[in-house]
Order: sequence, then structure tokens, then C-alpha cells
Amino acid sequence: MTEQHALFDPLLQDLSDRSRDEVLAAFSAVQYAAHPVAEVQLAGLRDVTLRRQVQRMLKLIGRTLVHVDGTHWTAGYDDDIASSLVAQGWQPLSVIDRAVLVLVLVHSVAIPRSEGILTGDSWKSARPTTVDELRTTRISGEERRLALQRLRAAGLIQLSGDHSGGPSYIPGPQLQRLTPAARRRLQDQLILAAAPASPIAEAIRARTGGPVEGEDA
Amino acid sequence: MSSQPSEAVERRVYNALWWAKVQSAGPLEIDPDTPAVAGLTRAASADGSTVWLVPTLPSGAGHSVLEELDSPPVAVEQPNETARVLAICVACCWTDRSAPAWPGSTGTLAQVRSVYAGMRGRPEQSSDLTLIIGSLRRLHATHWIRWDEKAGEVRLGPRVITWTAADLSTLRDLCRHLPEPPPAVLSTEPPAASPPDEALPDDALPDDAVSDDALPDEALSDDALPDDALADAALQDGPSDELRGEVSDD
Repeated sequence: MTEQHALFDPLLQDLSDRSRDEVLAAFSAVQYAAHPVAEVQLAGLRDVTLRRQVQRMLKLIGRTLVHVDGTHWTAGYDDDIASSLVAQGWQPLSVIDRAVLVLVLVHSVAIPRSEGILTGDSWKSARPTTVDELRTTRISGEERRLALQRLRAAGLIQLSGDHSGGPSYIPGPQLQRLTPAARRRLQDQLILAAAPASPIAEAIRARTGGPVEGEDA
Repeated sequence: MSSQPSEAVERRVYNALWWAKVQSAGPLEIDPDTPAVAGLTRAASADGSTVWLVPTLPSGAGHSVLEELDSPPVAVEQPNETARVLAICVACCWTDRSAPAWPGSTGTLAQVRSVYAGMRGRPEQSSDLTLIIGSLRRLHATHWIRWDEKAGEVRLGPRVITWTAADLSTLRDLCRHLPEPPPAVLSTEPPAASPPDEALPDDALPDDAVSDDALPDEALSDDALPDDALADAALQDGPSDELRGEVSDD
């Protein structure tokens, strides 16, 4: 017995039982699996028509399909919805959590990328950020510990396999949910914050049309 | 032309924005006057003063699919301990088992500790409280329960409103397997034999001691272990295996 669902039923009711099951399985997989799922694993992702239905379902809840490495799929926030929420001032992460996350992203991704060790625009990285690199006089040890705990629980960071020098962190699987536009925004923000006077920061300001000088990041 | 198409678009955007908020922050406390959002159900607290928006999914969608795919969701730290404490909270807060679990009633830390010790079949040990508080905090952060650390009181969280009749019948069985909680002695009631405050003296339990990262970073804290190692460690302690069997035995 299938209960009514006010949001999804109008989309699902025209599908055969089998298609419905495949669409719902693919929807659940991209929404709730910690990591992107392989396209070959699910008919709802392999079949272009079914995948379009998955995308429609996601669109209804402000999400969109994100293609990862050409072979996997996950779901992230739709760019228009994300920018509306930002415009409303919506921010579920506290300022300390964001600061700690940014430190991990700087050490694990931005620095290796600037050194040419990491290529591409992904926020996946195996370069661990050590606890020493997270130390800052602006955040107390206790605040940092609690922030790390919350960020880990949210899948935004994860423990790196390498703990020879004490615990260290790498970006978590949730970062793979960023759309291409969101990945670029994040990169731009980090450059603006880290090197606001650089020519590349100037180029970003020219492109985005903002006079923003190292805003919050 | 008519205003209808744009109304439909507006409604779609309205729904999508609320869904995105609930997805990014978990069940949301809202102004009771907020217009309905398709697919998000409302969970009102027992006295009706607070209303949360909680997402619902069509049957056939959700986490159950992940098991078949062998593609797990984001890992919960200390999964067995956390699940055990959630089961205990259900037993303590869902007192009228003929009614839905939501909103249930208020339970106390003293009750949780007592059922926990009974579940392990031995007197309470000093490390139990650390594990219990860590789990209560984790469950509170994910809205499965509402844990008032000052009062030492716990209620079920708005998420449980989505439990189906089948879920409730499984949970009813599970509660029957757990030791009976002692009567709740709430902080709003006249003090009795074991006031809940006694359970949590601030100096005896600094935040450090009960967080997952109990030790300084330099030492070998949970931080130093990957989640898998934690899960394995939890799986290896004897009594919990039996309990897991009991808990999942429907």
C-alpha cells in the first residue's frame, strides 16, 4: 500500500511500477549515500529517460544531479536555490565551523592546487590537514574540537587515513556534491580571501562584477 | 496572460526553498502560521507551542535502498552505542505505546542510566555516563531526540513523527525486551529521592570528558581513529553484540 505524497506523486503517478521503483532507488542513492554512486549500478541513472525523472524529483526539493568523474552521480543544491538562500542570509553552519572547514580546504586543497600537486576543480584531496595547521589564536582548542566533531558528523570533513603525526583531516564526501558553479564560487572566495591584491583576485572581481575585497570566507 | 502559471512557479520555488532549508539544517522549528509546504509534515510539541517541519518521502525511497547498493550513508560515530541510547530514549519517552511515539512524554537521565545498566546486565560503571552523554548529544544534534542537558531531561525529536505503524510495532517489541524504566522524576516536580541534577555535576563532567574527543588532540583520542575503527571497537565489546541481536530481533 502506497501512501500519497503531495510533492512527488504528480511526477510518479504516470510511471509504471517498475520505472517508479527505479527512479526512487536512484533518487535515494544520490540523495543519501555518503559517496557518489556509479551510473552502471542503477537503471534510474543509466537510462536517460529515467534519469530525467530523477532530476525532476530533485528539482522539486531544490536539488540537482551532479556528475562526478564522468562515471558517478550524486545530488547537490540547485544553483538558483542556493543563491536565493544565500540572499536570504540562510546559513546552517556556525561561523566557527565555517572557519575550521575553510582551514581544512586551504591546507588540503587550495595550497596543493597552487603548487600544481592537485589538478582539476574537485574539492577531493588526500593531502591531510594536521591539527597543528588548524591551530589559530582566534579559536580555542575546545571550540575547535567541537567544530571538528560537527563537521565530521555532517560529512564535510573526514579523518585522513594517515595519522602517523596525530589526527589529521581531509575534505569529506559532501564536498563532492558541489555543482560546477558552486565549486568555482568556493575557489573564487578562497582566492579573494587569501590573496585579495593578486592579479587573479582582480580578474575574479572583474568577472563577477563585485568590488568585494576579501569578504567573509 | 493569467497569473496562474506564475503562481504555480512561485509555489514550486516556495516548496523547494523550504525543502533545501530542511535538508541543510534538519527538521526546522517554524512559526505556526507558516503556510503548508508540500511533502513536509508538521510536528507540534505536546503543548502546541512549537512546530517543526519534517521531510517525508514516498514509500520505496529512503535509506533502505542504500543497503542493497552497498553504498552506506554518512557514518554515525559510535553507531552501536548511539542506536542503543536511542532505543532507551524510546522506551523512556514513549510511555503510551498504544498512541504514536510523537510527541511522547519527558524522560530523565536517571531513567536512561538505569535502563542502560539493566541492558548491560550489571551495575552502572563510571564510563557509562560518558558514553550515554556522548550519544544523547549526537542524537540531539540530529533531531532524533531533544536533550536538555541542564535539566537532565530528554524527549523524542520531531523526526520520529515519520515512524510508520510498522516501525512502531517493531519498536513496541524492542521496548518489551528492554528493562522497564523507573518512574520519571522531573525537575519541575518537587524534589524526590534522586533529583536529576545530581546526575550531572558540572565539575565532575567537564565538556571535555563527555565529548567524543575526550582527550587533548596530542593524545590518542577518538579523533585519531578512523570511524571504521570505532565501529569495530564498538562491535567487539561483548555484551553489546548480544544486545544488538536483541534490539534487531523483531
